[in-house]
Amino acid sequence: MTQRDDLEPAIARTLARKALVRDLPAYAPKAAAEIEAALLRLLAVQGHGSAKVANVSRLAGGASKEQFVFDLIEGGTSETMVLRMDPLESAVETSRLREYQVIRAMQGVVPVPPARFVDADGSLLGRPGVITGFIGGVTKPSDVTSARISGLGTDFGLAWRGRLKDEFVARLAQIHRLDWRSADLADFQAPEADPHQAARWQVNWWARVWQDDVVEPLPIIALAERWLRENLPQTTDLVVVHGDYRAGNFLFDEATARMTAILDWELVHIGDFHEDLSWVVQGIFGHPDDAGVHLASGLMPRDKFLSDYSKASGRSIDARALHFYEVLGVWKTVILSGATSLKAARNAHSHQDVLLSLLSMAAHRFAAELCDLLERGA
Amino acid sequence: MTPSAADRISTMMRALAEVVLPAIDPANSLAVEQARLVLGHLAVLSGQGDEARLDALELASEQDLARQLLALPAGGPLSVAACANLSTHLAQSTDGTLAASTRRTALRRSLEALMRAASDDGSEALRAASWSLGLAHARAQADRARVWYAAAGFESEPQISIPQMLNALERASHPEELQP
Repeated sequence: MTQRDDLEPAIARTLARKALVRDLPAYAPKAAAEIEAALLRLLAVQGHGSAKVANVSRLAGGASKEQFVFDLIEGGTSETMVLRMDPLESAVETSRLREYQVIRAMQGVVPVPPARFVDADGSLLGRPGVITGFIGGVTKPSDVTSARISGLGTDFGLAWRGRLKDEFVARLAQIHRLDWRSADLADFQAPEADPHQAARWQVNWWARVWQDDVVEPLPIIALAERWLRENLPQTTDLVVVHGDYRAGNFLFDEATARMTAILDWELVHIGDFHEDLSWVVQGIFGHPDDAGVHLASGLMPRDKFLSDYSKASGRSIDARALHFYEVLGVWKTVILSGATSLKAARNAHSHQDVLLSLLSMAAHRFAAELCDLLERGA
Repeated sequence: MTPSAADRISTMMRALAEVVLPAIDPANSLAVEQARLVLGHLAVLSGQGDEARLDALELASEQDLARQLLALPAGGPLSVAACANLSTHLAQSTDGTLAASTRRTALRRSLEALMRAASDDGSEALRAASWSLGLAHARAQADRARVWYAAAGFESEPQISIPQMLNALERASHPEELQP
Protein backbone atom coordinates (compact mmCIF):
# COMPACT_ATOMS: atom_id res chain seq x y z
CA MET A 1 0.00 0.00 0.00
CA THR A 2 1.34 3.43 -0.91
CA GLN A 3 1.00 6.45 1.37
CA ARG A 4 -1.78 7.74 -0.91
CA ASP A 5 -3.83 4.57 -0.43
CA ASP A 6 -3.57 4.72 3.36
CA LEU A 7 -7.18 5.26 4.41
CA GLU A 8 -9.20 4.24 7.46
CA PRO A 9 -10.63 0.85 6.39
CA ALA A 10 -14.21 1.69 7.44
CA ILE A 11 -14.08 4.92 5.43
CA ALA A 12 -12.73 3.04 2.41
CA ARG A 13 -15.66 0.60 2.65
CA THR A 14 -18.15 3.44 2.93
CA LEU A 15 -16.75 5.21 -0.13
CA ALA A 16 -16.73 1.96 -2.11
CA ARG A 17 -20.51 1.67 -1.55
CA LYS A 18 -21.05 4.75 -3.68
CA ALA A 19 -19.78 2.95 -6.79
CA LEU A 20 -22.57 0.38 -6.34
CA VAL A 21 -25.35 2.95 -6.71
CA ARG A 22 -23.85 5.30 -9.30
CA ASP A 23 -25.67 3.80 -12.26
CA LEU A 24 -29.05 3.31 -10.59
CA PRO A 25 -32.06 5.26 -11.84
CA ALA A 26 -33.31 8.47 -10.20
CA TYR A 27 -34.11 8.43 -6.50
CA ALA A 28 -37.70 9.04 -5.40
CA PRO A 29 -38.20 10.70 -2.02
CA LYS A 30 -39.85 8.28 0.40
CA ALA A 31 -43.53 8.71 1.24
CA ALA A 32 -44.80 8.37 4.81
CA ALA A 33 -46.52 5.07 4.06
CA GLU A 34 -43.29 3.56 2.69
CA ILE A 35 -41.41 4.69 5.78
CA GLU A 36 -44.05 3.20 8.08
CA ALA A 37 -43.81 -0.18 6.32
CA ALA A 38 -40.00 -0.06 6.39
CA LEU A 39 -39.97 0.76 10.11
CA LEU A 40 -42.32 -2.14 10.88
CA ARG A 41 -39.98 -4.51 9.01
CA LEU A 42 -37.01 -3.31 11.01
CA LEU A 43 -38.86 -3.42 14.33
CA ALA A 44 -40.10 -6.97 13.71
CA VAL A 45 -36.58 -8.24 13.01
CA GLN A 46 -35.18 -6.44 16.02
CA GLY A 47 -37.62 -8.01 18.48
CA HIS A 48 -40.38 -5.40 18.52
CA GLY A 49 -42.97 -7.27 16.45
CA SER A 50 -45.84 -5.99 18.56
CA ALA A 51 -44.84 -2.32 18.12
CA LYS A 52 -46.91 0.07 16.06
CA VAL A 53 -45.74 3.12 14.14
CA ALA A 54 -47.84 6.27 13.89
CA ASN A 55 -47.68 9.91 12.83
CA VAL A 56 -44.81 9.54 10.36
CA SER A 57 -43.88 12.93 8.99
CA ARG A 58 -40.89 14.36 7.18
CA LEU A 59 -38.53 16.73 8.94
CA ALA A 60 -37.75 19.75 6.77
CA GLY A 61 -34.22 21.03 6.21
CA GLY A 62 -30.93 19.23 5.88
CA ALA A 63 -29.04 18.72 2.65
CA SER A 64 -27.81 15.25 3.27
CA LYS A 65 -30.13 12.59 4.70
CA GLU A 66 -33.90 12.01 4.55
CA GLN A 67 -35.28 12.56 8.03
CA PHE A 68 -38.63 11.53 9.48
CA VAL A 69 -40.20 11.85 12.89
CA PHE A 70 -42.65 9.18 14.11
CA ASP A 71 -44.21 7.69 17.23
CA LEU A 72 -43.30 4.17 18.23
CA ILE A 73 -46.11 2.65 20.30
CA GLU A 74 -45.35 -0.50 22.27
CA GLY A 75 -46.60 -2.00 25.53
CA GLY A 76 -48.91 0.90 26.23
CA THR A 77 -46.21 3.55 25.90
CA SER A 78 -45.35 5.87 23.06
CA GLU A 79 -42.00 7.39 22.23
CA THR A 80 -41.30 9.94 19.51
CA MET A 81 -38.31 9.01 17.39
CA VAL A 82 -36.30 10.30 14.44
CA LEU A 83 -35.18 8.26 11.45
CA ARG A 84 -32.17 9.47 9.44
CA MET A 85 -31.86 7.55 6.21
CA ASP A 86 -29.49 7.73 3.22
CA PRO A 87 -30.84 8.65 -0.19
CA LEU A 88 -28.86 7.01 -3.02
CA GLU A 89 -26.30 9.83 -2.91
CA SER A 90 -26.05 13.04 -0.95
CA ALA A 91 -23.71 15.88 -0.04
CA VAL A 92 -21.52 13.36 1.73
CA GLU A 93 -21.25 9.58 1.85
CA THR A 94 -21.04 8.37 5.45
CA SER A 95 -21.89 5.40 7.65
CA ARG A 96 -25.07 5.15 9.72
CA LEU A 97 -23.43 2.41 11.80
CA ARG A 98 -20.62 4.73 12.91
CA GLU A 99 -23.16 7.43 13.67
CA TYR A 100 -25.13 4.98 15.84
CA GLN A 101 -22.03 3.77 17.66
CA VAL A 102 -20.73 7.23 18.47
CA ILE A 103 -24.11 8.50 19.67
CA ARG A 104 -24.23 5.54 22.05
CA ALA A 105 -20.68 6.21 23.19
CA MET A 106 -21.49 9.87 23.87
CA GLN A 107 -24.46 9.11 26.18
CA GLY A 108 -23.69 10.79 29.48
CA VAL A 109 -20.67 12.59 28.01
CA VAL A 110 -22.46 15.34 26.09
CA PRO A 111 -26.16 15.82 25.29
CA VAL A 112 -27.14 13.47 22.48
CA PRO A 113 -30.41 11.80 21.56
CA PRO A 114 -30.76 8.18 22.71
CA ALA A 115 -29.62 5.79 19.94
CA ARG A 116 -32.40 3.24 19.37
CA PHE A 117 -31.91 1.19 16.19
CA VAL A 118 -29.62 0.98 13.19
CA ASP A 119 -29.90 -0.66 9.79
CA ALA A 120 -26.30 -0.43 8.63
CA ASP A 121 -26.73 -1.89 5.16
CA GLY A 122 -30.32 -0.90 4.46
CA SER A 123 -31.51 -4.48 4.13
CA LEU A 124 -34.59 -3.71 6.27
CA LEU A 125 -35.31 -0.03 5.66
CA GLY A 126 -34.44 -0.06 1.98
CA ARG A 127 -31.53 2.30 2.57
CA PRO A 128 -29.10 2.52 5.52
CA GLY A 129 -30.68 4.34 8.45
CA VAL A 130 -30.31 5.18 12.12
CA ILE A 131 -33.11 5.79 14.60
CA THR A 132 -32.77 7.95 17.69
CA GLY A 133 -35.12 9.34 20.28
CA PHE A 134 -36.59 12.76 19.52
CA ILE A 135 -35.10 15.63 21.50
CA GLY A 136 -36.76 19.04 21.69
CA GLY A 137 -34.91 22.25 21.05
CA VAL A 138 -34.05 24.76 18.36
CA THR A 139 -30.97 25.38 16.21
CA LYS A 140 -31.48 29.14 16.29
CA PRO A 141 -33.60 31.42 18.45
CA SER A 142 -37.19 31.53 17.26
CA ASP A 143 -37.14 35.33 17.25
CA VAL A 144 -34.27 35.37 14.73
CA THR A 145 -35.32 35.22 11.10
CA SER A 146 -32.89 34.15 8.41
CA ALA A 147 -33.32 32.93 4.86
CA ARG A 148 -29.96 31.21 5.01
CA ILE A 149 -29.42 27.47 5.04
CA SER A 150 -29.33 26.22 8.63
CA GLY A 151 -25.98 26.86 10.31
CA LEU A 152 -24.51 28.97 7.52
CA GLY A 153 -23.89 32.40 9.01
CA THR A 154 -26.54 32.03 11.72
CA ASP A 155 -26.83 35.30 13.63
CA PHE A 156 -27.86 34.39 17.19
CA GLY A 157 -27.94 38.03 18.26
CA LEU A 158 -25.90 39.54 21.09
CA ALA A 159 -27.95 38.21 24.00
CA TRP A 160 -28.08 34.63 22.73
CA ARG A 161 -24.39 34.63 21.91
CA GLY A 162 -23.68 35.42 25.55
CA ARG A 163 -25.90 32.58 26.73
CA LEU A 164 -24.65 29.89 24.33
CA LYS A 165 -20.94 30.45 23.74
CA ASP A 166 -19.49 28.98 26.95
CA GLU A 167 -21.40 25.71 26.69
CA PHE A 168 -20.52 25.48 22.98
CA VAL A 169 -16.82 25.51 23.92
CA ALA A 170 -17.20 23.29 26.97
CA ARG A 171 -19.10 20.60 25.06
CA LEU A 172 -16.45 20.42 22.38
CA ALA A 173 -13.79 19.93 25.05
CA GLN A 174 -15.94 17.16 26.55
CA ILE A 175 -16.25 15.37 23.22
CA HIS A 176 -12.48 15.44 22.89
CA ARG A 177 -12.10 14.10 26.42
CA LEU A 178 -14.00 10.87 25.71
CA ASP A 179 -11.91 7.78 26.48
CA TRP A 180 -12.47 6.34 23.02
CA ARG A 181 -10.19 3.36 23.64
CA SER A 182 -12.64 2.08 26.25
CA ALA A 183 -15.77 2.99 24.31
CA ASP A 184 -17.66 0.58 22.06
CA LEU A 185 -16.61 2.05 18.71
CA ALA A 186 -16.14 -1.22 16.86
CA ASP A 187 -16.43 0.27 13.38
CA PHE A 188 -13.72 2.90 14.00
CA GLN A 189 -10.00 2.49 13.53
CA ALA A 190 -7.38 4.78 15.05
CA PRO A 191 -4.55 6.33 13.02
CA GLU A 192 -1.72 5.02 15.18
CA ALA A 193 0.75 3.63 12.63
CA ASP A 194 2.82 6.81 12.72
CA PRO A 195 2.34 10.40 13.97
CA HIS A 196 1.39 11.67 10.48
CA GLN A 197 -1.29 9.07 9.86
CA ALA A 198 -4.19 11.06 11.35
CA ALA A 199 -3.59 13.91 8.94
CA ARG A 200 -2.72 11.59 6.04
CA TRP A 201 -5.97 9.63 6.42
CA GLN A 202 -7.92 12.87 6.09
CA VAL A 203 -6.05 14.00 2.99
CA ASN A 204 -6.46 10.58 1.39
CA TRP A 205 -10.16 10.43 2.32
CA TRP A 206 -11.06 13.69 0.59
CA ALA A 207 -8.64 13.22 -2.31
CA ARG A 208 -10.47 9.96 -3.00
CA VAL A 209 -13.86 11.72 -2.80
CA TRP A 210 -12.70 14.35 -5.29
CA GLN A 211 -11.41 11.65 -7.64
CA ASP A 212 -14.74 9.78 -7.45
CA ASP A 213 -17.07 12.76 -7.65
CA VAL A 214 -15.41 15.48 -9.73
CA VAL A 215 -17.70 17.00 -12.34
CA GLU A 216 -15.81 20.16 -13.27
CA PRO A 217 -12.04 19.95 -12.66
CA LEU A 218 -10.41 22.68 -10.57
CA PRO A 219 -6.62 22.99 -10.61
CA ILE A 220 -6.70 24.57 -7.11
CA ILE A 221 -7.76 21.18 -5.73
CA ALA A 222 -4.49 19.64 -6.91
CA LEU A 223 -2.44 22.56 -5.60
CA ALA A 224 -4.06 22.34 -2.17
CA GLU A 225 -3.52 18.59 -2.10
CA ARG A 226 0.16 19.17 -2.85
CA TRP A 227 0.43 21.64 0.03
CA LEU A 228 -1.42 19.34 2.42
CA ARG A 229 0.80 16.34 1.62
CA GLU A 230 3.91 18.45 2.12
CA ASN A 231 2.72 19.87 5.44
CA LEU A 232 1.19 16.92 7.34
CA PRO A 233 1.29 17.70 11.06
CA GLN A 234 2.12 15.05 13.66
CA THR A 235 -0.60 13.89 16.04
CA THR A 236 -0.18 11.62 19.01
CA ASP A 237 -3.00 13.09 21.14
CA LEU A 238 -5.84 11.28 19.36
CA VAL A 239 -9.45 12.23 20.15
CA VAL A 240 -12.94 11.64 18.79
CA VAL A 241 -13.36 14.39 16.18
CA HIS A 242 -17.02 15.32 15.66
CA GLY A 243 -16.24 16.50 12.13
CA ASP A 244 -19.12 18.98 11.76
CA TYR A 245 -19.30 20.81 15.10
CA ARG A 246 -20.78 24.26 14.47
CA ALA A 247 -23.88 26.43 14.67
CA GLY A 248 -26.82 24.57 13.19
CA ASN A 249 -25.64 21.20 14.48
CA PHE A 250 -26.73 21.56 18.09
CA LEU A 251 -30.14 22.04 19.65
CA PHE A 252 -30.79 24.24 22.65
CA ASP A 253 -33.73 24.94 24.92
CA GLU A 254 -34.90 28.54 24.68
CA ALA A 255 -36.17 28.61 28.25
CA THR A 256 -32.90 27.52 29.87
CA ALA A 257 -30.41 28.38 27.08
CA ARG A 258 -28.85 24.94 27.61
CA MET A 259 -27.87 22.56 24.84
CA THR A 260 -30.29 19.66 24.53
CA ALA A 261 -28.50 17.67 21.82
CA ILE A 262 -25.43 17.70 19.63
CA LEU A 263 -26.41 16.43 16.18
CA ASP A 264 -24.99 15.37 12.81
CA TRP A 265 -22.23 13.00 13.86
CA GLU A 266 -21.87 11.53 10.39
CA LEU A 267 -18.31 12.81 9.79
CA VAL A 268 -17.03 11.54 13.15
CA HIS A 269 -13.64 9.83 13.29
CA ILE A 270 -10.61 9.48 15.50
CA GLY A 271 -8.06 12.16 14.79
CA ASP A 272 -6.60 15.51 15.77
CA PHE A 273 -8.60 17.96 17.90
CA HIS A 274 -7.32 20.85 15.74
CA GLU A 275 -9.61 19.55 13.01
CA ASP A 276 -12.76 20.42 14.98
CA LEU A 277 -11.34 23.81 15.96
CA SER A 278 -10.56 24.68 12.36
CA TRP A 279 -14.11 23.71 11.33
CA VAL A 280 -15.71 25.95 13.96
CA VAL A 281 -13.76 28.98 12.69
CA GLN A 282 -14.55 28.45 8.98
CA GLY A 283 -15.80 31.66 7.39
CA ILE A 284 -19.06 30.25 6.03
CA PHE A 285 -20.31 29.20 9.48
CA GLY A 286 -19.82 32.65 11.02
CA HIS A 287 -20.52 36.28 10.29
CA PRO A 288 -19.16 39.68 11.30
CA ASP A 289 -20.58 41.39 14.38
CA ASP A 290 -21.64 45.04 14.42
CA ALA A 291 -17.99 46.10 14.79
CA GLY A 292 -16.95 43.97 11.81
CA VAL A 293 -15.24 41.29 13.90
CA HIS A 294 -15.85 37.82 12.47
CA LEU A 295 -17.67 35.55 14.91
CA ALA A 296 -16.72 31.87 14.75
CA SER A 297 -19.93 29.88 14.24
CA GLY A 298 -21.76 33.13 14.97
CA LEU A 299 -20.85 32.90 18.66
CA MET A 300 -17.52 34.55 19.49
CA PRO A 301 -14.36 35.96 17.93
CA ARG A 302 -11.92 33.35 16.67
CA ASP A 303 -9.14 34.13 19.20
CA LYS A 304 -11.59 34.06 22.11
CA PHE A 305 -12.94 30.70 20.93
CA LEU A 306 -9.44 29.24 20.68
CA SER A 307 -8.28 30.54 24.06
CA ASP A 308 -11.50 29.42 25.77
CA TYR A 309 -11.15 25.97 24.22
CA SER A 310 -7.57 25.75 25.37
CA LYS A 311 -8.62 26.59 28.93
CA ALA A 312 -11.59 24.22 28.89
CA SER A 313 -9.64 21.29 27.45
CA GLY A 314 -6.20 21.84 28.95
CA ARG A 315 -4.77 21.40 25.44
CA SER A 316 -2.26 23.69 23.79
CA ILE A 317 -3.10 24.82 20.30
CA ASP A 318 -0.38 24.41 17.70
CA ALA A 319 -0.70 27.24 15.16
CA ARG A 320 0.83 25.17 12.33
CA ALA A 321 -1.49 22.23 12.96
CA LEU A 322 -4.48 24.56 13.16
CA HIS A 323 -3.52 26.14 9.84
CA PHE A 324 -3.11 22.72 8.22
CA TYR A 325 -6.60 21.70 9.33
CA GLU A 326 -8.05 25.03 8.19
CA VAL A 327 -6.67 24.35 4.72
CA LEU A 328 -7.96 20.77 4.90
CA GLY A 329 -11.40 21.94 6.06
CA VAL A 330 -11.88 24.50 3.31
CA TRP A 331 -10.45 22.12 0.68
CA LYS A 332 -12.93 19.50 1.88
CA THR A 333 -15.76 22.03 1.67
CA VAL A 334 -14.89 22.83 -1.95
CA ILE A 335 -14.98 19.09 -2.66
CA LEU A 336 -18.27 18.46 -0.85
CA SER A 337 -20.07 21.39 -2.44
CA GLY A 338 -18.40 21.56 -5.85
CA ALA A 339 -18.08 17.84 -6.56
CA THR A 340 -20.13 15.47 -4.37
CA SER A 341 -23.23 17.66 -4.15
CA LEU A 342 -23.19 18.43 -7.84
CA LYS A 343 -22.59 14.78 -8.78
CA ALA A 344 -25.53 13.62 -6.63
CA ALA A 345 -27.77 16.29 -8.15
CA ARG A 346 -26.71 15.43 -11.71
CA ASN A 347 -27.41 11.76 -11.06
CA ALA A 348 -30.85 12.68 -9.63
CA HIS A 349 -29.94 10.54 -6.63
CA SER A 350 -31.14 12.67 -3.72
CA HIS A 351 -34.42 14.02 -2.39
CA GLN A 352 -32.59 17.37 -2.28
CA ASP A 353 -31.19 17.64 -5.81
CA VAL A 354 -32.27 21.26 -6.13
CA LEU A 355 -30.64 22.24 -2.86
CA LEU A 356 -27.48 20.32 -3.72
CA SER A 357 -27.12 22.12 -7.04
CA LEU A 358 -27.65 25.40 -5.19
CA LEU A 359 -24.96 24.43 -2.66
CA SER A 360 -22.53 23.68 -5.46
CA MET A 361 -22.48 27.40 -6.29
CA ALA A 362 -20.87 28.05 -2.89
CA ALA A 363 -17.78 26.09 -3.96
CA HIS A 364 -16.31 29.22 -5.53
CA ARG A 365 -16.50 31.17 -2.29
CA PHE A 366 -14.68 28.30 -0.59
CA ALA A 367 -12.12 28.19 -3.43
CA ALA A 368 -11.35 31.86 -2.81
CA GLU A 369 -10.91 31.14 0.91
CA LEU A 370 -8.63 28.25 0.00
CA CYS A 371 -6.48 30.67 -2.03
CA ASP A 372 -6.29 32.98 1.00
CA LEU A 373 -5.17 30.16 3.27
CA LEU A 374 -2.63 28.74 0.82
CA GLU A 375 -1.11 32.17 0.20
CA ARG A 376 -0.83 32.74 3.94
CA GLY A 377 0.76 29.37 4.63
CA ALA A 378 2.92 28.87 1.56
CA MET B 1 -41.16 37.64 -31.43
CA THR B 2 -38.79 35.19 -29.74
CA PRO B 3 -39.05 35.47 -25.97
CA SER B 4 -35.71 35.91 -24.22
CA ALA B 5 -34.56 33.56 -21.48
CA ALA B 6 -35.02 36.40 -18.99
CA ASP B 7 -38.65 36.86 -20.06
CA ARG B 8 -39.36 33.15 -19.83
CA ILE B 9 -37.73 32.82 -16.40
CA SER B 10 -39.65 35.81 -15.14
CA THR B 11 -42.98 34.27 -16.15
CA MET B 12 -42.04 30.95 -14.55
CA MET B 13 -41.14 32.69 -11.31
CA ARG B 14 -44.44 34.54 -11.22
CA ALA B 15 -46.43 31.36 -11.82
CA LEU B 16 -44.51 29.51 -9.13
CA ALA B 17 -44.80 32.29 -6.56
CA GLU B 18 -48.38 33.32 -7.21
CA VAL B 19 -50.09 30.10 -8.27
CA VAL B 20 -48.11 26.97 -7.42
CA LEU B 21 -46.67 27.82 -4.00
CA PRO B 22 -49.96 29.02 -2.47
CA ALA B 23 -51.65 25.83 -3.72
CA ILE B 24 -49.24 23.46 -2.00
CA ASP B 25 -50.46 21.83 1.20
CA PRO B 26 -48.40 23.52 3.96
CA ALA B 27 -48.16 20.13 5.68
CA ASN B 28 -46.13 18.84 2.73
CA SER B 29 -42.85 20.29 3.95
CA LEU B 30 -40.74 18.77 1.17
CA ALA B 31 -42.96 20.17 -1.57
CA VAL B 32 -43.00 23.64 -0.01
CA GLU B 33 -39.23 23.59 0.44
CA GLN B 34 -38.59 22.37 -3.11
CA ALA B 35 -40.86 25.00 -4.64
CA ARG B 36 -39.05 27.75 -2.74
CA LEU B 37 -35.67 26.40 -3.78
CA VAL B 38 -36.73 26.28 -7.43
CA LEU B 39 -37.88 29.87 -7.14
CA GLY B 40 -34.51 30.80 -5.67
CA HIS B 41 -32.68 29.02 -8.49
CA LEU B 42 -34.72 30.82 -11.10
CA ALA B 43 -33.92 34.14 -9.43
CA VAL B 44 -30.19 33.37 -9.69
CA LEU B 45 -30.58 32.37 -13.34
CA SER B 46 -32.61 35.44 -14.21
CA GLY B 47 -29.76 37.75 -13.26
CA GLN B 48 -26.98 35.87 -15.03
CA GLY B 49 -27.56 36.46 -18.70
CA ASP B 50 -25.35 34.91 -21.36
CA GLU B 51 -23.49 31.92 -19.91
CA ALA B 52 -21.67 31.30 -23.21
CA ARG B 53 -20.02 34.71 -22.87
CA LEU B 54 -18.58 33.74 -19.49
CA ASP B 55 -17.53 30.30 -20.80
CA ALA B 56 -15.54 31.95 -23.60
CA LEU B 57 -13.74 34.21 -21.15
CA GLU B 58 -13.03 31.33 -18.79
CA LEU B 59 -11.62 29.33 -21.70
CA ALA B 60 -9.30 32.19 -22.63
CA SER B 61 -8.03 32.27 -19.06
CA GLU B 62 -7.30 28.51 -19.06
CA GLN B 63 -5.54 28.80 -22.42
CA ASP B 64 -3.36 31.59 -21.09
CA LEU B 65 -2.35 29.54 -18.04
CA ALA B 66 -1.65 26.47 -20.19
CA ARG B 67 0.62 28.44 -22.54
CA GLN B 68 2.62 29.86 -19.64
CA LEU B 69 3.14 26.44 -18.07
CA LEU B 70 4.02 24.75 -21.35
CA ALA B 71 6.78 27.29 -21.91
CA LEU B 72 8.70 25.82 -18.95
CA PRO B 73 10.90 22.69 -18.78
CA ALA B 74 8.65 19.79 -17.74
CA GLY B 75 10.89 17.61 -15.57
CA GLY B 76 10.42 13.86 -15.04
CA PRO B 77 8.33 11.41 -17.08
CA LEU B 78 5.02 12.12 -15.33
CA SER B 79 5.35 15.83 -15.98
CA VAL B 80 6.50 15.27 -19.55
CA ALA B 81 3.40 13.15 -20.20
CA ALA B 82 1.13 15.67 -18.48
CA CYS B 83 2.59 18.52 -20.56
CA ALA B 84 2.03 16.53 -23.76
CA ASN B 85 -1.57 15.92 -22.76
CA LEU B 86 -2.06 19.59 -21.92
CA SER B 87 -0.51 20.61 -25.21
CA THR B 88 -2.97 18.40 -27.10
CA HIS B 89 -5.96 19.84 -25.25
CA LEU B 90 -4.68 23.37 -25.71
CA ALA B 91 -4.61 22.80 -29.47
CA GLN B 92 -8.09 21.25 -29.38
CA SER B 93 -9.39 24.13 -27.29
CA THR B 94 -9.38 26.38 -30.33
CA ASP B 95 -11.79 24.08 -32.19
CA GLY B 96 -14.81 26.33 -32.53
CA THR B 97 -17.11 23.45 -33.47
CA LEU B 98 -17.18 22.39 -29.79
CA ALA B 99 -18.93 24.41 -27.09
CA ALA B 100 -16.60 26.66 -25.09
CA SER B 101 -17.72 24.94 -21.87
CA THR B 102 -16.70 21.52 -23.25
CA ARG B 103 -13.29 22.79 -24.36
CA ARG B 104 -12.79 24.60 -21.05
CA THR B 105 -13.58 21.48 -19.00
CA ALA B 106 -11.13 19.35 -21.03
CA LEU B 107 -8.41 21.96 -20.69
CA ARG B 108 -9.05 22.38 -16.98
CA ARG B 109 -8.80 18.62 -16.48
CA SER B 110 -5.40 18.61 -18.19
CA LEU B 111 -4.28 21.56 -16.09
CA GLU B 112 -5.28 19.79 -12.89
CA ALA B 113 -3.39 16.69 -14.05
CA LEU B 114 -0.30 18.77 -14.74
CA MET B 115 -0.48 20.35 -11.27
CA ARG B 116 -0.47 16.83 -9.81
CA ALA B 117 2.37 15.62 -12.02
CA ALA B 118 4.44 18.71 -11.20
CA SER B 119 4.08 17.80 -7.52
CA ASP B 120 5.56 14.37 -8.23
CA ASP B 121 8.43 15.01 -10.63
CA GLY B 122 8.13 18.48 -12.12
CA SER B 123 11.18 20.63 -12.77
CA GLU B 124 11.86 23.29 -10.15
CA ALA B 125 10.63 25.93 -12.58
CA LEU B 126 7.40 24.02 -13.29
CA ARG B 127 6.74 23.33 -9.63
CA ALA B 128 7.23 26.98 -8.70
CA ALA B 129 5.25 28.35 -11.62
CA SER B 130 2.41 25.87 -11.28
CA TRP B 131 2.09 27.05 -7.69
CA SER B 132 2.27 30.81 -8.25
CA LEU B 133 0.42 30.94 -11.58
CA GLY B 134 -2.02 28.27 -10.46
CA LEU B 135 -2.95 30.20 -7.34
CA ALA B 136 -3.34 33.47 -9.24
CA HIS B 137 -5.50 31.72 -11.83
CA ALA B 138 -7.61 30.03 -9.14
CA ARG B 139 -8.12 33.34 -7.40
CA ALA B 140 -9.25 35.08 -10.58
CA GLN B 141 -11.51 32.17 -11.53
CA ALA B 142 -13.10 32.04 -8.08
CA ASP B 143 -13.65 35.80 -8.07
CA ARG B 144 -15.44 35.64 -11.43
CA ALA B 145 -17.61 32.73 -10.31
CA ARG B 146 -18.47 34.49 -7.06
CA VAL B 147 -19.84 37.43 -8.99
CA TRP B 148 -21.67 35.07 -11.37
CA TYR B 149 -23.33 33.15 -8.53
CA ALA B 150 -23.62 36.02 -6.03
CA ALA B 151 -27.42 35.95 -6.15
CA ALA B 152 -27.34 32.45 -4.63
CA GLY B 153 -26.76 34.17 -1.30
CA PHE B 154 -23.39 32.79 -0.27
CA GLU B 155 -21.69 36.18 -0.62
CA SER B 156 -22.11 39.03 1.83
CA GLU B 157 -21.83 41.73 -0.82
CA PRO B 158 -20.69 41.28 -4.43
CA GLN B 159 -18.11 43.88 -5.44
CA ILE B 160 -19.43 44.39 -8.99
CA SER B 161 -22.39 43.33 -11.10
CA ILE B 162 -22.25 40.52 -13.67
CA PRO B 163 -22.40 42.89 -16.70
CA GLN B 164 -19.63 45.05 -15.21
CA MET B 165 -17.47 41.95 -14.66
CA LEU B 166 -18.04 40.55 -18.16
CA ASN B 167 -17.34 43.91 -19.78
CA ALA B 168 -14.13 44.36 -17.78
CA LEU B 169 -12.98 40.85 -18.71
CA GLU B 170 -13.71 41.37 -22.36
CA ARG B 171 -11.79 44.65 -22.36
CA ALA B 172 -8.85 42.83 -20.72
CA SER B 173 -9.03 40.05 -23.33
CA HIS B 174 -9.18 42.49 -26.26
CA PRO B 175 -7.14 45.55 -25.21
CA GLU B 176 -7.11 46.86 -28.79
CA GLU B 177 -10.80 47.68 -28.41
CA LEU B 178 -9.83 50.27 -25.81
CA GLN B 179 -7.96 52.24 -28.43
CA PRO B 180 -9.78 55.39 -29.57
